[in-house]
This record gives sequence, structure tokens and C-alpha cells, in this order.
Amino acid sequence: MSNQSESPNPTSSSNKITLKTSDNEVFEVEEAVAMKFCTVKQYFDDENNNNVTSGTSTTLIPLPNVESHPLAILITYCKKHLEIKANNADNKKEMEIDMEHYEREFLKNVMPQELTELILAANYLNFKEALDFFCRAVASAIQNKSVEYVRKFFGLESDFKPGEEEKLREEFAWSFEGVDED
Amino acid sequence: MAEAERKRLRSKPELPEECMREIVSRLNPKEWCRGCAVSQKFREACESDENWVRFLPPDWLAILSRSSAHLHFTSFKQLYLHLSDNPILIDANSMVILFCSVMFLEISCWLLDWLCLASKPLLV
Repeated sequence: MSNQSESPNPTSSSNKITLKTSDNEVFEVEEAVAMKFCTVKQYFDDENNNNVTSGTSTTLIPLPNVESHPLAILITYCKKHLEIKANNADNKKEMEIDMEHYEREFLKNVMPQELTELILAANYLNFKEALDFFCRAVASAIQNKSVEYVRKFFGLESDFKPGEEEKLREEFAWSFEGVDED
Repeated sequence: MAEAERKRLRSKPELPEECMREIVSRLNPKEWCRGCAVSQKFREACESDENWVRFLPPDWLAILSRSSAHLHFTSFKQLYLHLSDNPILIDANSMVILFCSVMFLEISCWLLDWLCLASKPLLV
């Protein structure tokens, strides 16, 4: 078995970008991963434009609205996303199948509460693919569920005027038929 | 952000409106009708024209203009639900019917299907 220096990870030579979360954790990620986060990309591009001459590769990007927990998950998701894309560069159908498979597995390890946190982070980072995936996941989690379940899921409360909710329930009574048990 | 604020968010993160809209847009007419009773904000997202129009045929305007029915609607939700209760006849001589089904999530029904005329959504 060859030692590590003889078989370097092909991606290890790429530029790294350091992200610092609101809870002061530092993540060093490959540029390709960081650039999927449009907010980071924007920051990175602006920095580069402002410091053309600096030439340093130690960019540290603060993420005051993202905690380390969701960020770690988003980085893992992003890496896998890029990997699947690279592996199926010439076959979109295969890529979609692999991605679906990965996403199904992914959801097995995520609590519904975490999804909200992930959406917030993906939204702040403007990471479109992840945002789409998490929104789809939440939509399917609340699909065919009762109004009470949806409120609890999002931490919402009924804020209707007296009688208004009852009226809506009556008007759309048929849509309340056959919903899942909470 | 203060530690206390972070803790609060962690215990009950509240989604901004745009995220709520993104999620709601991935549901369907039946969910949107029920979702109206969740909260005011959720209702707004559930009633968005952008969502409902996706469940109408892309050329809905051209189709409606081929019907003798005079439809008055102020939102696509209203139009969709109206069509699901009241199929309309288009091109009277060729007997094509436009129909939306909220229960089966069909976009439209082009065939002359007498079942469609049992206007009320069939409950499963």
C-alpha cells in the first residue's frame, strides 16, 4: 500500500477557503464547494476585486448567520452533490438517479426540526440546489397532514379573527378529508 | 447575535416568508385549500397566484376565450376552484370540456367525460 504522499487526493491541491460560523467554528473547504454558496462566492469575488494585489490564499469569510451544525451538513451535501455531478458528467439521467438515491439516504439521518435550520442556512448562503431539496423535503413532510401538525412543524399559531378559521374549514371541508393521523 | 437569541432560534427556528413560500409552492391545490386554515402568513402563501396558475393549462386564457361562459375571477385559485365545480364547454360544436380536479390534481381534462359533469370533487 502506497503512503499518502504518493497518492495525493486529487482535490487536495485546489484552493481552500475558510468559513467562520456564528458560533466561531472554522471550516476549511475547497473552493469548488464554497463557490456553490452564492453568498460566499459574492463575498469572495468582492474581496478579490478589492485586494487584487494581496495574492493571499487565506481568505476567511465570516458567516454571522450560520451555525456550525447546519454548515457541516451543507458542506457534506455539497461535496456529494459535486461528486455525483462529476461522476455523471455526460449522463444527466444517471446523475438524477444517483442524486435521488443520496437524498433519500440523507433524509433518513435528518430530524424534521433540523430541516428548518438547514433551510435557514441554505437560504442565507443562497445555495440553490440544497434549498430546493430541503423545501421539497419539508413539503413532503407536511403533505396530507393536519392543520395542527403543520402549525407545530413551523411553530406557527392560529392568528385568525374569531370565526374566520371555522369558516375556512367549512368552505374547504373536502380538503380536510383523509388527512393522516398526527 | 446574542447567545440567548441563538438558543431561541435553535429551539424554534422561524422561517422567513420567502422560505415558507418556497415550501408551499411545492404542495398542491388540495394542500393549499387546507393550508389556508394554518395562519394568515401561511394562507397568503397558499393563495399565491404563482402557485395556482401552474395547475392551469399554460394557454388557459386562449382556452377560456373559446368558451361562451363568462367567468369572473379575481385570483387563479378562484378560477381553478370554479372550474373544478363547474366544467365549462369550449368549442361548443366539438364538445371539449375544461375541467380542473382538486382531488386528483389533474391539470385539465380535455375529453368529454361525463364523470367530469358530476361537478363536485369525488371524495376518495
